[in-house]
Formats: sequence, C-alpha cells, structure tokens
Amino acid sequence: MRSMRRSLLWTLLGTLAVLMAVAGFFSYRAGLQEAGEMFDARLVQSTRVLMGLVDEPLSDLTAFPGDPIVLRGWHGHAEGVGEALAFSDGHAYESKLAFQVWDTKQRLLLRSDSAPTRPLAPLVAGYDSPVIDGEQWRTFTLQTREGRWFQSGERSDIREELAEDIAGGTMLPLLLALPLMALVILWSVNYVTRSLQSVSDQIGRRDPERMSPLEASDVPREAQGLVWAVNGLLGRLSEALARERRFVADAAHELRTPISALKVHAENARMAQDEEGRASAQDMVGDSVARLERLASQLLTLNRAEAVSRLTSVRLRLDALVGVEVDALRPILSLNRQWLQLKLDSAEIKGDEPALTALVRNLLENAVRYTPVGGRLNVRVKQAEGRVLLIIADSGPGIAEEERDRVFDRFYRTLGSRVQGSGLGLSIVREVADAHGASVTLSYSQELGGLEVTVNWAADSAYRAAISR
Amino acid sequence: MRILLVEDDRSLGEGIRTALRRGAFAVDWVEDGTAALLAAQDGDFDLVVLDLGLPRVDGIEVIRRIRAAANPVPILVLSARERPADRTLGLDVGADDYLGKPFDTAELLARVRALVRRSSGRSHPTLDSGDLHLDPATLEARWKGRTLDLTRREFSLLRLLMEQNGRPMARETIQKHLYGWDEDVASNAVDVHVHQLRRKVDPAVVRTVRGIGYALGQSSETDA
Repeated sequence: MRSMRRSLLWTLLGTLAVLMAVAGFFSYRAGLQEAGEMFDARLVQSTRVLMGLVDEPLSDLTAFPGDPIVLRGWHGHAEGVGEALAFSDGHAYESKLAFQVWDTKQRLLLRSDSAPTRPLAPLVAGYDSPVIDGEQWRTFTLQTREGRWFQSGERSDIREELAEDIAGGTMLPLLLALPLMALVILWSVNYVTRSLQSVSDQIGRRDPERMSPLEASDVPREAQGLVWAVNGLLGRLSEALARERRFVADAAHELRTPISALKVHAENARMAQDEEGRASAQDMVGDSVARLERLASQLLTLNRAEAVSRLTSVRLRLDALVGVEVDALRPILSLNRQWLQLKLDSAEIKGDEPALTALVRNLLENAVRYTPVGGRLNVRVKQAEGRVLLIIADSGPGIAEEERDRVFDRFYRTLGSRVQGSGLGLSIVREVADAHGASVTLSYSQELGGLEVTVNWAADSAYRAAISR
Repeated sequence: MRILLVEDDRSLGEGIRTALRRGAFAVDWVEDGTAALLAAQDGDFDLVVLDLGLPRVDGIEVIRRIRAAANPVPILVLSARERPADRTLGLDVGADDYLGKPFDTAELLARVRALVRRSSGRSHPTLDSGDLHLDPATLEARWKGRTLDLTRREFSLLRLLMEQNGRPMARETIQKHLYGWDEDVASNAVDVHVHQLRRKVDPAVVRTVRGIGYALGQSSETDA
C-alpha cells in the first residue's frame, strides 16, 4: 500500500535535492564566469603594471643579458583556506601566478620563478588557455612598441576554486537544511495523518448500535468535507436502519397473533374428539396458513415499496392494469353479489409495474372486502388537465373523518369492522403513491355512500423527482 | 367453570374457545374492551383470558377497571406484547398471570387450571372427595377406583360441585358455570346432567338441597 507519509517525504526531499543541484550548478557556472571576467581583467591589469614598471628599465638593456632575471616568490608549504595560506612574506598561491618578459628575438628576459622557461603561451597578443605541465592556465600576452612580449598567467584552478566556493556557499545552507526539512515534513505529515487517523478511529468505532456523527473539531479543514460526507452517510444509514428495525419489530409483533391462531387450530385438530371438530379445526388451520401467507406477501410488498431506489420506471397503461385486476376479482364479486361499475379512459403513467399492481389490487380488495353483500362499487380511471386519476368508490361503511389519517399507519385496522385484514393494504397504497409522486385522498362517496379513494398522479416529473430522492 | 375470553382476532378467539371447551370450561367470548368490562361486571366468571391490544378500551385499562371495581376474578393476560416491561406492567396493574403470543395451547390450558385451582384455595392438582377422584388436567374421573365415562358437561358439573366442598349451589348458578351465553340451554339442562351423573356414578353422588339446588353428596359410607 502507498504510504502518504513516505511518498510525501521522498517527493519533497527529492524535489528539494534536484533544485539544490540545479541551483549549485548555476551558481557554479555564474561564479566561474564572474571570477573569469574579474580575473581576466586583473590579468590584463597586472600585465600592464608589469610592463609599466619593467619596460623602461628593460629598454636600457640593449644587449641580451644571457640568463633571464628570475623573481623569487614565496615557497613555503601551507594547507587550508583563506588566512591559512597568507603569510607576512607571501602567499601560498604565488606559485599559481606567473609572468614572463620576452625580447623581440623571443629570448626570455624576465620571469617569475613560478613560470617555465618556455613561453606560457604562443607569443600572440591576447588571451589564451594553454595546458602547462598538465595544468590548465589562463594567460594574457601584450607586446610593447619596441616589440617585447609581456605575458602573465595564472592557473585556472584558482578561479575554479572561487566558483566552487561561491557555489558551495549557496549549497551549504541548503544541504544543512535538507535533514531539517525532512524533520519538518515528517512532523507536519504526521500532524495531518494523526488527525486523519483520529477520523478513521472515530469511523472505526461506529457500528449499527452507535451511529452518532463524527467530531469535526480536530480535523483539518481539507478533511472536513470528508467528515461531513461520512456524517451525512451515517445519518441516512441510521434512518434506514431505524426504519428497517421498526418494520421488523412491527412485523414480528403482527405475526404473533396469526401464528398463535395457527398453533391453536393445529392443536385443536390434533386433539379433536370427533370428526366434525377435527374437520372444522383443519379448515381453520388452512385459513390461518392462507392468512399468514397473505401477511408475509403484504409485508414484502410494503418493504419493497418503501425502498424507492429499487423501483423501476416504465411507461404503462393504468386502465389496462386496473382492468386486469378487476377481472381477477370477478369470482368474488359474483359470490358476494356485488355490482361493480367500471369506466376506464385510456391513461398512461410511468412507474414500477409490480408496485402499481399492488396499489390497485389493495384498493380493489379493500373495497370488495368492506362492501356488504349485494353492495355496489365504482371504479374509474380518467385524465384531467394532464393528471391521471384512479377513483374507487364503494357502498361500504366508509372511514370516519378522524380516522382517515391513521388508516395509512402500518397494521392499523378500523374498529368494529368484522373484516380480518393484514392492516397493511393502505400503507402499501400510500408508500407506492408517494414513490410515484401521486397523492391518495379518502373521502365520502356522494354516489354510493361509502368510501371513495382517489389516487392522483401528477405530471411525469414528480415521479422522477421522487425516485431520484 | 366459566371463562371470559377477550380476544379481538376472530380466528385466534375461535381457536382458544375450542381449546378451552375441550378442557371442560364454559367460554364467553367478547372482542373488545368495552364488552369485556360489561361482561366482567356481570360476574360469575372463574377466570378472564385477556388480550391487551383491544379495540375501544385497551387491555391494561380493562384490568385496572376490573380491579378498581374490587372484582377478584383471576386474570390471565394473553398478549403479543411480551417484553419483560410489558409483562411487569400487566402483572402490576392486577393480572395474575401473563402468557406471550405465540403460546402453546397445552400451556395455556395448564395455566388456566392452575389459576382456577389457586383462586378456589386449593393447592393439590386433583380433586378428591371420599370415593370420588377427579383430575382436571386429564379430564379423568374415578369412583372407587373405577374410571367413569362422563361427557365434558357432566365432568364440568362434578368438578364444579367438588370445588364447593359440599356447599350447595343454586340451579341457575350451576347453569351459568356450565354454559356460555351463546349456547342453547334447555331449561332443565342441569337436572338432566344431575340425573345422568347419578346414573353413571352413584345415586348419592349429588344431593338435592330443597329450595336451593344441588350439592356434592355424602360419601357412600355415611350416606346409609
């Protein structure tokens, strides 16, 4: 795995080192050039001074004197830099400076003892950079009017040394700073990673039982966004978890009674003392199982409708869907001698087909269940001002106004009704409608005297808004 | 023995009623809290089996009001609210026993028997009086070691009279304890059952108390 600390450290130190090398190179180059210019100028000047001092006396020397005059310089031994090389009678670097004077016949008249007996450079006026005894020199040659040659030279390593000193002077503090920088980088990276570590520790301590938001106070500003995002996620998770838990608790509670009934009926069937008792108990076992089956499937439908993100969206014909569901109820309708009036305008809506089927089926089943034998039902699908309406009315007892909000609660059953339902039908209807941006209204049916349920689908956009929420 | 069953779930209520009847209990079944209070007021129940999640008046409130009316009838709560806190609340407001749903039918019947036994001041699970031996759990009745072949109602009548320790009981009271409201009862039903008992067991097993009704008979040794 990549270590942020290590990669930061090496990147920063590497960059710094490269920068230092470049800086060193350029200051060496600049130093060399500056030293060169200065030394070249001084070389010319000292040649001229030599000429000014010596040319006049030398012109008196008409005949060649034979051996040249040799000026002795300092010949001690010294090591070190700066003052360590300077003495009251000379300097250790005198051997690196040399001069020569030649007559017109190219005979050596005068030289410093550091100079060879051959010309430092070919006797041509101007600068030259010869190699003498393996050493690089810089020379300047000047000719007087009488034709004598004055040559001054110095070993190039002097100026290289100076350039090195200048470059070194630039580099040294940087070099010394390098480990310091490493420490600073390590410390600041540690500081940042420690606060990130505290965030990840906090996240590590979160579990489904403890979803409190993370402390954002000691986190660097750059990581606050992360903390906020995690807190948002934690909030949504704990909400979803609470909903699931409530759902499971409700479901477990609601399953107790039908399961008790099933157990009692099974025991009664086993213990029955006559055939009639056994048969009746067995019938009730069958009913109980069917009831549990229905409850389980309603629970699943509701759970599915509550998880909006899992719903699909297709275009479908509401009138066709309602027609199919009504047809499925025909046997019960005729058994109950209930009369159903159907009026379906073609209407297209967008949504999840299984969920919408559950909505329609629950409303129709409720209407059939609560309408007395011989009662009447009206089912209508119509379009009005771009909206799609599903209206289901019955001649049943209706729902009292003060109860109309509560009937949408899970497992709520209206009092005194002789009807055994799961108590989930209208919850499913509400959830599915919400997920599709539709509204559900309960009212009194003017025509049939019972309940009238209206589901109102808004424009397409509402569904999309709801589904992307 | 007459039991008031309060349960709003039709299927479960029906099942429990059948099971209790199998245990030789007369059962009156109501489906909401208001009806339960009315029935309890009327009295003459040996036990109330009470669901808590009831329409109109909640079960806990039903218990409170029954106890507030100084009604000592044993109450067995039968509820889907089965957390310890729920049980504690139910027992503390005056219930005598608490059974969570889903429950075992045999256990329900055993608890019903235990509550009835305790409320009549007995501790022994069987009823013994002279040559007569009754086991409410197995519905077995013996006379002088001989197993009696009794109908549920006859067993019920014998158990009822044995619970009284020889004290006489009015004919109407006996009838109330043998039949639920919804059962068709012939006016001479109790007399018929007494006649059957005398025929199947011994003529002296039930004694007629003039002007009152019936009592458990003297044992055969003293009956001469």
